Amino acid sequence: MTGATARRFTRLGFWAYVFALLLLLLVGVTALRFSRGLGATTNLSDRFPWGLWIGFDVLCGVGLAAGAFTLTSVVHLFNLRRFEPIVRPTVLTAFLGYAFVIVALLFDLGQPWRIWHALVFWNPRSVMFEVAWCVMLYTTVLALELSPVVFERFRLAGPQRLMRGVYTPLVIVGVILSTLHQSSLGSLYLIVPSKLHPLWYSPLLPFYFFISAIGAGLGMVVIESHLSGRAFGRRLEMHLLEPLGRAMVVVLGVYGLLRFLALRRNGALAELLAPGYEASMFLLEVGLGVVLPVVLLSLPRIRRSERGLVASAFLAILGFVMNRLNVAVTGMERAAGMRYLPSWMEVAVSVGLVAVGFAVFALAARHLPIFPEAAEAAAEPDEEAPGAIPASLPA
Amino acid sequence: MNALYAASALLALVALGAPMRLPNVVYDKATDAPGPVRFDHRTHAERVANKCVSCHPQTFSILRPTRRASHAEMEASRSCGVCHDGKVAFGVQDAERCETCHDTGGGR
Amino acid sequence: MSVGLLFDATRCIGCEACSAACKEQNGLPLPIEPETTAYTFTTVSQREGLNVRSLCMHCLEPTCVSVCPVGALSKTAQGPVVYDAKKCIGCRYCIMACPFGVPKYQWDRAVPVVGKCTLCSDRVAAGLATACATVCPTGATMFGERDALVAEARARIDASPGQYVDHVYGVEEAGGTSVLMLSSVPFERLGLATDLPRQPLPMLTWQVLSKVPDFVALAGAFLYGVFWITRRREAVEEARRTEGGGPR
Repeated sequence: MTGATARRFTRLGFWAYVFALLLLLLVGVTALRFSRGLGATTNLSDRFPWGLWIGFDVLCGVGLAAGAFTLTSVVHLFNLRRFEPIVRPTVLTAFLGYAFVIVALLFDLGQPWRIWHALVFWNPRSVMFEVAWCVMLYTTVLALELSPVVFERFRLAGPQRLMRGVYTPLVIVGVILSTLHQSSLGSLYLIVPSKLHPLWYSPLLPFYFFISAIGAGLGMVVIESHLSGRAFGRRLEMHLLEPLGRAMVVVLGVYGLLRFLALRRNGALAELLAPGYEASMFLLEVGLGVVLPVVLLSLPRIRRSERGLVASAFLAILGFVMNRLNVAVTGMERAAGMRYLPSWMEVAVSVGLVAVGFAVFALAARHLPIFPEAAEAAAEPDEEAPGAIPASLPA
Repeated sequence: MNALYAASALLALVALGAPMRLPNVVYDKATDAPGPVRFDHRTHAERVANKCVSCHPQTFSILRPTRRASHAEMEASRSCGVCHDGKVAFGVQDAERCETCHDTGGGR
Repeated sequence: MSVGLLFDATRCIGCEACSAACKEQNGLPLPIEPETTAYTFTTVSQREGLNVRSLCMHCLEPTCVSVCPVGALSKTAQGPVVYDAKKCIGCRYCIMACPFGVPKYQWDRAVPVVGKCTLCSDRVAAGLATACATVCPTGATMFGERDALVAEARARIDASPGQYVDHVYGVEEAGGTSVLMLSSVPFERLGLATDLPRQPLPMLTWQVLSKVPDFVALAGAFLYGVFWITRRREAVEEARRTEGGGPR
C-alpha cells in the first residue's frame, strides 16, 4: 500500500466514522420525533411554527436542485449540446435534493402519514397546495429523466426507446413545474405582509425566489462537478463551467438590482442605514452572496481558475441559503416577538439527511452510468446494442 | 331564529341597564329534604371575586346547570361539598344550618 | 344571515365565565391558560385597565381557509370558521399565516391537531348562541347577526362618544371579521393587530395563483417554440453539411 493510497484510506475512514455518527444520531432523533412529538424535539412553537426544517430543508433543498431545470432546458431546448455531459449528474443531484425535501417534510409535518392528503383533498386557492402538487409531479419528472440511466445499466432497450420519445415533452414539463414551484415557495410568504420584515417582503417575492434559484442552480452545477471531481479523481471541465460562471454574473447581477429596487419601493432603505439585527443579516446575505460573487466572477482571471470559480459558486449558494433562512426565520422574528434557533435535534436531522444524500449520490455514481466516462465504458462496442448510447439522450 | 331572539332579548336587557345576569338555581326537593334549595349566585360569586373558574366547569356545569344535588355527593367532596366541608365554608352536616340552604317555607 | 359576536371591553369584568363555558362546550382540559393554546380557545387578560378577550376573529374572508392545502379549514354559511381535524396534515401554514395569530398547535402530542375557537358552530347550527355569549353575566360578549351587531356597536359609540374609541374593530380589518370589538383605549394598546390591510389577505396569493394556468400555456408554447427553432436550425445545418443531401 503506497503512502498516497494509505492516506486516502484513512481519510475515507474518517468520513465513514462521521457518516456513521450522523446516521446514528438521525435514527435516534427520528425515534424521539415520532414517539414524543414536535414540541419535545424542536424549538418550534405557536409563535414560531416554521423553523429550520422549512427554512433550510424545504426552501433551500428545492432551490438548490434548480440546476436541473436550468441545465436540461439549456441542453435540450436551447440546444447548447456542449453541456450535455453534466446533465446527468445535475439531474441526479436534483432528484436527490427533492427526495431530501420530501423526507424532511415527513419530519416536519405534524401528521406525515397523511402527506398523500393533498392528492385527494384539494384547495386550489392555497399556494401550499400548488407547491405540494408541483413537488410531487416534478420529483416524478426527475425520476423519469433519470430512468434512461437505469435502463442503460440494465440494458433495457425497449424502455430506453420509449424514454427517447418522451424526453422533450418531459423536459418542457419539468421546466414549467420547476418554475412554478420555485416561485410559489416565495408566494408562500406573500400572505404575511404584516409579519415578514420589509427588507425581505415584496409583492414580487415569487419572482425573486425564481431568479435566485437559477443563480443557485448554476452554482450547484459548479460545486457538484467540483466535489465529484475530487471524489472520483476527475478534473473539472472548465470549458463547460466557465460560461456558467458568466451566466451567474448576469443572473445574480439582475437579481441584486431587483432586490435593491424592491427596497426603494418598500421604503425600506432607511432600515438598512439604521444599525440593527435585520439590517446586518441583510447586508451579510447580499454582500457575501450576491455582490461579492458578481464582482469575482466578472473578473476573467477568477472565472477561469478552478479555485476562483468554485469559491464564487460557493458564495452564491451561501447567499441563496442565507436568503431563504432570512425570509423564513430572521424576517419573521420581529413580528413573532422572539428569536428562533433550531434545537440540536432539528440540526441533527437536517445534517443527517444531507449526509445520506451525499452517500446515495456516491453510490449511484459508482454503480450507474452517471458520468460520461462510465457511460462510454457501459456502451461496449462489440455488443449489438440498439444504436450507440450517448451520455444522454438526444431528443 | 332563536339566536336572533336571544340577541334581541339580551340587547333589551342591556339597554335597560340590567344588573349582572347570574341565574339563581333552584334545586329539586329530595323526598327527605326539609325544602328545595335556592342557590344564591350573587353572594357566591362575590365570595370568589367574580372568578367563575373557581367552580366552573369542573365542579358545576356552566352550560347545563343541574337541579339535583345530594348530601352524599357533598360529603364525598363533590358538588357543594368542595367548599362546604366545614373548613372553607360551613359543612352540610351542620344541623343548625339546614335553613341557610333549604327553603322550609317559614319566615326568613 | 351570518352571525357573529360583539365584545365590548368596557363591560367585561374579567370573570372568565366565557373561558369556562368554552372549556365545557368543547370538552377541553383545565386549566384555563393565560394565553390561547390548542387546549384553551379563549382567554381574558387585563390590559390598560380593561379586560380583553382573545379568540378567533372568524374573518369574512379567512386567511387560514385560503392557505390550508387540504381545505381542513372552512367558513360555514352561518359564519363560523371551522376545522376538520380528519383532513389536517399538520403543515401549520394556518398558524404561520393568520394575521391575528389565532390557530394553535398540539406540540405535545405525537398525533397533533390544530385548536381554535369554532364560534360553537354546532350550537349556532341548532339555533343557539355561542357558549361564551350564553354565560356572559354582563353582556360584554353578545351574540347575534353580524349586521345587527355592527349597528349596535355604532349606536353605542354614538350614544357615549367619550366612552369609546371611535372605531369598531373588525368591520374592516383584513376584509372584515365576524367578531367585533369595542374599546375605550386604542386597540393596539390592547394587543390587537392594527397594521392589517383592509383588503382580505387571500387576495395577495390569489393574484399570483390565478395566473398559473395562463403561465403554463404560454411557457409550454414558448419552450416548445424554442425547441422547434433550435431543431430547425440544427436540421438546416445538417443538410448544408451533407452537401446538398435531402432534408435530414
